[in-house]
Amino acid sequence: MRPINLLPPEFGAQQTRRRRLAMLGFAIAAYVVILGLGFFLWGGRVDNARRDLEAQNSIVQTLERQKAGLADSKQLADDYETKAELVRQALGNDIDWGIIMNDLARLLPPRLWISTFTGNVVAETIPGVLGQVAFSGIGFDFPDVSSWLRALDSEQFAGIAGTWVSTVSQGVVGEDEVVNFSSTAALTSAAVTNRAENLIPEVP
Amino acid sequence: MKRIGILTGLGVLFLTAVWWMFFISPKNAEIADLEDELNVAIGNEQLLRVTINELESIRQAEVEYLAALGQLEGLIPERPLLEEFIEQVYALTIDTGIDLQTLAPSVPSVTEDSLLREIQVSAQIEGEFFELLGFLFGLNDMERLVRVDSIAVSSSQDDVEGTVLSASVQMTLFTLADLLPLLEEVGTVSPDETPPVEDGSGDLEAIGPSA
Repeated sequence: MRPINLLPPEFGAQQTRRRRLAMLGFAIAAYVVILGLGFFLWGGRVDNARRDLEAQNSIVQTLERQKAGLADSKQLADDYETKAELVRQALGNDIDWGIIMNDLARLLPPRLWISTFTGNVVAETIPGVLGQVAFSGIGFDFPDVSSWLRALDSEQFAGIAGTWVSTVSQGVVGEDEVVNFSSTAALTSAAVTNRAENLIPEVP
Repeated sequence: MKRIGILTGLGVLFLTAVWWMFFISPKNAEIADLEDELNVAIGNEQLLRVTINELESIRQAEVEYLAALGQLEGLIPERPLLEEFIEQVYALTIDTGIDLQTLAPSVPSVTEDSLLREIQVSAQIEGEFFELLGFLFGLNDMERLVRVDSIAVSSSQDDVEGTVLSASVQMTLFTLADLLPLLEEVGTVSPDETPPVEDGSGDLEAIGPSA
């Protein structure tokens, strides 16, 4: 059945306006409440983040105390590293002269012998050259000196490079004619020992 | 009514913007800062855990570390210990059959940019080739670190022993202390702090018999 309204139409319009205004007011109130809730929600997030941070800081502090309790172990390890580094420094350009002399004796060509040998470690002015060795020797003839150069320049003699003969002169030993020669060579980094690493005791 | 709706919408927008700008944005910034700090703290925790694990393993291997330190201190002793070195070199010459003729150690000298003090030792020895080799290898095997910096060998003929090698060996030993304490360590007396000269007119008179 259709409702019959006998009130003037203005009254209905006024009621509609009031209803709309009430709805608007309610919407605004709801909106403000939502904003407030949002504010508190964000405040809660901040609190949560702060609590997480405090908990994490607490863990870190506990670990820091634990680490401080192990300070003597750290000191022990530091002492070991310091002293091991000193050994490495000390043996930075360590040459094993025994091996060089042994190789020299092993590779010395026949018909030739060495009368003097000097070897020095010098400051590295040419890259890779750590020292110099000098020899003087005696051979039976000039080709023996060539054999000497070939022997020292061979790859079997590690750590020696740039062999040179500066003089070869005829001489006499007893009743035999010989040649005297003087020679030099450079000591390269291949002559450096790894003694430091062998001497430094390993720790777990 | 329509105008009221539009104005209300604009007001809501404005209010939302103000709410976001003045209430939420600062909190977001605070949350971001706290999360950054949290990440840093988490990173610290991980680093600390790794460090603690390492230190724990060092503690468990303390005996090995102490033994290694003892060996390293044997290689580079705190004090020069020249007396022990002379004994060790002498023993080595006896073992290898080398004839030790001279031994000339310098006083420890400071090395640049290092804690090391170097003692240069010059030795003159004589022997056969393999005795000399034994001596050189023996130096490398000594409990104390000896570095041979230079060597000069010359041969000569001996009627009795055949070829004899004379060698001059320049060695370097290492230590961590000076022979004598440095002046700064014992305390120098500045001109302002010159001690009073006892000329017999001061305290001695005061304690002597009065006239």
